[in-house]
Amino acid sequence: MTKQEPGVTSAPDPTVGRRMHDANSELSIAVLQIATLLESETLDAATREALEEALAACRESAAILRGVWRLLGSPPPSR
Amino acid sequence: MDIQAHERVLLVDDDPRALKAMSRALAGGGIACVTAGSAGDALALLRSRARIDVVLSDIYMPSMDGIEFLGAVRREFADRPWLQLLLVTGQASVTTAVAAMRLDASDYLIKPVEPTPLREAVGHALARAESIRRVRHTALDTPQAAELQRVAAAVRDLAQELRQADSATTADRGDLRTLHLLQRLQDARESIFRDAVMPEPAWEMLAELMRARLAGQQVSVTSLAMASKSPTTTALRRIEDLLACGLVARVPDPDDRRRTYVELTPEGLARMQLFLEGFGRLVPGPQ
Repeated sequence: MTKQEPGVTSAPDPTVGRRMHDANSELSIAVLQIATLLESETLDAATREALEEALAACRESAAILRGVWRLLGSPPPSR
Repeated sequence: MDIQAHERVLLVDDDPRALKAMSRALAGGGIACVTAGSAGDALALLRSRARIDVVLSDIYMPSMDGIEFLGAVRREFADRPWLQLLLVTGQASVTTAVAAMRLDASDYLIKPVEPTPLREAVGHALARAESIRRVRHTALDTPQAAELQRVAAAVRDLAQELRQADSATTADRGDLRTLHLLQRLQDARESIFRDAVMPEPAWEMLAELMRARLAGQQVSVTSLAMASKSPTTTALRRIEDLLACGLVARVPDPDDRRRTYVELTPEGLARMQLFLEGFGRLVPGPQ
């Protein structure tokens, strides 16, 4: 039997979906900015590595958010 | 609002950081943009700048959401059918996807969007807009263009009929005029492009299935392959492609187990309808 996360119900409060969507929008800004920065050919190796790790973390966070949306079984507000 | 001389792309989002990030990513691909922080600002910008070809909008905005906004763009700027509309959203839903299709949106991007897909989507939209502008502004006085205008007017009528009537009623009615419109569209294409455009088997078969549906007829796999104007092996491959896309379905003949019919699925029918609506918008009516 799957253990339910505290505070997560089968019919989520619309506010939860909205906040998750806001989080995704924030991640979206970060992904776009970091990925654009990484296109520069003038980055030193350490900066490039740090940015690549930050980008991977953002992508992973976005994937987790999508997974949570699926768990909640309800589409987020269309934003 | 940020207005410069040659931008053909308008970005609309209530979050200035999102606008900045998208502008920067597109600038990295050599695409210059203007930006608007609200639907109202964006509409004002479109009124003052006829050179804008692409509008990319977030779906959620406080005063008017992206779907409403793009609907308003289509209504107010119906004389600019080259305008390409793109939507950005946090997660796809059937409702917004259908709304986007009805607005003839070029693309539907899911956040987080990365720079390369963003540039590709906007780049394709710019190319499509340019192509439509070219068609509309060249040789409108040639006999072929006049024929195309006549066909477009007929297609607009057909799209209107399809929108108003449910599919069963339309199929049962068997109106002679609607039966021939798709063929006229094909004829016009062949008359204008001649041998420069080879038959497209998938399209020829979709048109045949639409024609058959309007006539209340069934189409066997063999007949459909013949309608494709291509070798049978090519036609069968394309039928498999259409089945995989969910646009057509196989229906066994209850009276003859050896025979299988092919018909448009509800999605296939809806897409043909959208195509007809879009075609009617793209071709200018008689001056």
